[in-house]
Amino acid sequence: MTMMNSVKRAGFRALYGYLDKDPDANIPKLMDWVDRFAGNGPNSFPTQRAAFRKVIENPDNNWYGLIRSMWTDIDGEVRKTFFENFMLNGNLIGWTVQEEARERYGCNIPWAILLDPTSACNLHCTGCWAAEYGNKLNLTFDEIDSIITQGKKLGVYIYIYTGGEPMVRKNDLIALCNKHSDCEFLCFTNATLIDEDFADQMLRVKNFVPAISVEGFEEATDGRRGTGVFQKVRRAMEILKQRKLPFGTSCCYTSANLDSISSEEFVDRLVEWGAKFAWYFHYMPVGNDAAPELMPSPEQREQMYGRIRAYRKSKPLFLIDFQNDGEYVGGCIAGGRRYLHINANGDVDPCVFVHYSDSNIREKSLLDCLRSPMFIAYHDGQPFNENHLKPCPMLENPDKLREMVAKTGAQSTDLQSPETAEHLCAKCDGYAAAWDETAERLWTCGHSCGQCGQTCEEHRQAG
Amino acid sequence: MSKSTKNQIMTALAELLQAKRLDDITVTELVEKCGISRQAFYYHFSDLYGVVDYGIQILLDELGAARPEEWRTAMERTLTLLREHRTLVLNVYRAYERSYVESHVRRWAAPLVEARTRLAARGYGVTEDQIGFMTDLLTQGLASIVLSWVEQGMPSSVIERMDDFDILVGGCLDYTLERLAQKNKK
Repeated sequence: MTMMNSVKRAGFRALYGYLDKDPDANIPKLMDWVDRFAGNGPNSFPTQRAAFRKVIENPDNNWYGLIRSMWTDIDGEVRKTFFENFMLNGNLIGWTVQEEARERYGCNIPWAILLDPTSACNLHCTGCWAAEYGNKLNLTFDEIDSIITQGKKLGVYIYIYTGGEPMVRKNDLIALCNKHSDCEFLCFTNATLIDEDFADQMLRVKNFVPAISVEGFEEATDGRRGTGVFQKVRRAMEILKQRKLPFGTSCCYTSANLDSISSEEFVDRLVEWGAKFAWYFHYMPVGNDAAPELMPSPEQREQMYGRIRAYRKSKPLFLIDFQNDGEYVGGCIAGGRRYLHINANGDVDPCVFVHYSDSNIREKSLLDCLRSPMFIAYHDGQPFNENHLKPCPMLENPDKLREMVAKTGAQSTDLQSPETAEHLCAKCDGYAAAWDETAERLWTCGHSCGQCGQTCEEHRQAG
Repeated sequence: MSKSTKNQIMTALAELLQAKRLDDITVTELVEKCGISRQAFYYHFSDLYGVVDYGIQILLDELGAARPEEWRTAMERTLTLLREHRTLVLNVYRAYERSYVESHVRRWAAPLVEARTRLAARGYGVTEDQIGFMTDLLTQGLASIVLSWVEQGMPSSVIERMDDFDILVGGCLDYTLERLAQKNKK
């Protein structure tokens, strides 16, 4: 095993050195190397590789453009660290360790761990569920350090900060990047605390990537986050771009902003600002004060489905729409299957949106949390639906969450205003029923015509 | 705050190294001695090796850049300085892989040797590639002398040995440059 890893490491480094030397000449040849490297085993992703080969050999392709921009827009040392920590440790090497642990312990082992260093935030945005936690809770440096140390033993090299505003703890975040220099850290942030000094520290540690929250253009962002926030976000992006540091964006789509936040104009702007990835999140009616009317309608969600797929074929940006992209990851990835969430109180939640737990990291090891009844219920229940356009045990399959909470006795971990599973799930029943027909049509269409690569809309237009 | 904290950590580690080896020292012990938190330590360094690297870099910076004409004195200054920090250097030597120590020594030696080579090569018709080749070989020579010296516990006699090395380098360069220039003409 260790020997296999040294071979992987050496091979990967040789491959990277080759790419780095002359990216223009060597990116198109990348797949020859990858094919040789991957072999023909069952875990060698043959279809994915074939699809990737198709795009990478064409310099006009948007994916080629995105990969090429890693060499023009990103600092050389940061790029190297990203390849090493994310691709090599986080995936190639980490995956094997995770798989072994999955088999040995019979439970989910995540690929990434999301955690809230603090519940504090410097902004007070309308309707923020994180704000409901209040601002007194923190995971200490030693606690986070311990989570990461335990995680690495299970093959987890990717850590994602949420909150609260993680950057409130910026010195601790840099210290953790430094201590765990073999891991890749991502951070959901409002970006208002990213200044020149912090960007210099990012350049020093090389393994910290912000995912900046935006609500759309200036009016929409300031409307929810406060006056002047949009300009601060743009300034932060400029600072990062100047230093050739990678970053992406995180957007929550609702019935109110969906059209503008998924418009081509907005996506083009993200590329222009320098974002390398854009992650979209469906609004979730979580919390006693949630506004269920902000959940997108089936028509709106279908529009999102079509648009993101179209951009993925045309824009040099890595777009993910988590609620609609279940087909690429086999449905729900929460409950430790690919990720879990630890809040600022140490509660280990199955998902950033599902705050029902029977474990706290201050009382149990990470592995024991993964073996707790709630996580095992996720493990045994996944996928929650064969149709991966209905992946979630809460949003599209609310009875599944009701059942898991009842069976395991998991408690609400919302410290401000605990919400019963029934209260939460009742808000999803109508949504789930309404979405069902569209989800079935899109799923059948997307799958009966195999890998046609067209959206239903395109398909219909093509006759 | 940052530079002084880094130096404070480095000084404390140097003190601990008087009594025990690097492998036997923990970060917790070091931060207690400094009166700082673990996170303050990790803000600056990934591990104890990082502190040692920083210490060595400070030593090298202290030496500053030498002019090519002074390379003989520059070598002597370095060796004298390393001897003054004998405990630190010997600890590094014991704690690290030899190849790692060698890379540090070469990082120090290469610019010095290159400057010396370029000085000698003035007026000769030799290529960049040939200068690189001579620099590499002579850097390796200097690095091995320094490493063997550390291995032997850093006796003072090496300072005299530097005179001989200087003569050797001078002779090598003159002879080789002459021959290479002739070869290039053909």
